[in-house]
Amino acid sequence: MKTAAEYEESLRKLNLEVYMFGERVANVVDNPIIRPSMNAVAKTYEMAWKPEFEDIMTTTSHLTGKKINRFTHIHQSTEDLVKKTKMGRLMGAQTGCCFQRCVGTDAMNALSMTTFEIDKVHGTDYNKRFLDFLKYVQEEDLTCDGAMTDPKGDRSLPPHKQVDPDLFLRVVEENADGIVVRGAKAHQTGAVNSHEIIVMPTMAMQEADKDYAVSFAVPSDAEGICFIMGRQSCDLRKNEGGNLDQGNLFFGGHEALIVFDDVFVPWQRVFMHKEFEFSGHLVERFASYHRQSYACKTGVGDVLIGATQTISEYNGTERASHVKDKLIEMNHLNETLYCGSVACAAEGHKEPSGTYLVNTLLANVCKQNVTRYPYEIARLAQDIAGGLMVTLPSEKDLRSPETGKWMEKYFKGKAEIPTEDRLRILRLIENITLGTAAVGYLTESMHGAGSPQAQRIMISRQVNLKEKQKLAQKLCGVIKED
Amino acid sequence: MKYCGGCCPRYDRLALFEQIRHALHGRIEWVHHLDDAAETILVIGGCETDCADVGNLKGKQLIRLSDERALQTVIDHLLALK
Repeated sequence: MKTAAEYEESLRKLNLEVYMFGERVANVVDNPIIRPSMNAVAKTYEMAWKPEFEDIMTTTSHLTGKKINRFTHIHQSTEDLVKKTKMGRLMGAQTGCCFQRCVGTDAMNALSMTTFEIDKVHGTDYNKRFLDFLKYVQEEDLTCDGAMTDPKGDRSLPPHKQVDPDLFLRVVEENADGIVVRGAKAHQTGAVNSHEIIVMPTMAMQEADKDYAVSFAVPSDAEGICFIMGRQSCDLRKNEGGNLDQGNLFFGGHEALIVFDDVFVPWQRVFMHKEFEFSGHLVERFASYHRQSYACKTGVGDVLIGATQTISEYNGTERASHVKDKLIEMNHLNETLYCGSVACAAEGHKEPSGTYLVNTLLANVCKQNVTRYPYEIARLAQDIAGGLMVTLPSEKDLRSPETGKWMEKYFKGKAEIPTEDRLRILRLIENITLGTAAVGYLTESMHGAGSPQAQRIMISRQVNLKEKQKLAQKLCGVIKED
Repeated sequence: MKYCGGCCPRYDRLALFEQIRHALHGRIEWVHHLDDAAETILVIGGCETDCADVGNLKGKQLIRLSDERALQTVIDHLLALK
């Protein structure tokens, strides 16, 4: 396993082509806007070495018998699935943000199954290629980006009917050594903190779209790949040089558009190529795992609830019955999110490949809750925090000899609480509910792992309405039992 | 000793272990749970789920603590170990 320092050094060796604000980023690791996201991924490495987190953060590889970081593990039991849920909560709580590493884990677990299934039908060797890749990932303790979402263009048209055929990633050339791919993957969480990019198709494909039914892994600095960093609300505060207005001083997430400009992929890294009938299989499995992964928002919720309780104490409102009840509601909603993730894990099952998959109905229910409850938890946090959260002058004003004394005086809450502590907690609540971390806590909760309607479709497909009808009809005598 | 993974502990597990270590100072040498020299494993769980994986600790005597209210009982048990 790598240490956090070794992980950081490994990123410095990558030759990434990254753009932000119209310029190429020369030093990705130390860029102040990107650095907090690297810190969050590094935390997944750091915590694996700590005895108080080891039981969740590490496990034994089913391939090598060696101790590995759980983010590189293929789930071998429902206990593994539950531990993955717990790991998500733990990391969310320790970082207060999107820590980015789960997408690659979910991609690898999905591929462990789909490659096995393709090989059974087509006699291919995708599973062996995948396992060779997995051994490499485990041996080197790598972070992988799981890249599924195509830009998609006109959503009413399939890939092959798009005016621009590159709006879904596809194979444009194949030769004896491998394939060449062209396209892009959007909203890629943690892309520039990743060693490898694992690409998957974004939806079930038909035969006319078989060039789009492709899955592979490439190093993140492969020739032809470039990253265009996404903006986040309040992102430039990280450039201001202070240590208060960012809210979360240490951690954050990032998202990027990854462009694949005729990128070569050797055959040994190709895990699906034109087996379009399996594209839906891969997408559903990845989506199910990734919907389970939103246990992370329970962890971020833990931070937000802690911050909200703290500000109520600093404000002197903690004994008000409505404040207490709102905190109970925040906890109720937060633990309900956790319930969904634990449930789909505990009700998991073994697939023919040997990998354990979550209960897909419950995973979709879990994620459907995640599209809603963080918004209500955030609303309650803002309710209790008060409006100062969004009218607070800057840290520079606090440090200024002309204005600092007025801020110290007029923004004090309880007399014994330093004014600056009150401002720090307010900035953290702001960060999570409408700053850089709100990207992960709110909008990613809405759209990550598939937008709300995607889960509703899956719920509708999987519930057995006929059986439920029979239950009702028997009880009221519409169906008479002999 | 071995901790659970600490996803959402109901109490401070590390502080609790420090109390145990202090109460038993000089009587017990604490090693990592996978150390072959370990005769007894104290497993500290952060809540009643007590989910720490003990599958690789077969053959070892386990003392489990998952509720801080049981602290003194566990200390007494450890003191009684020969």
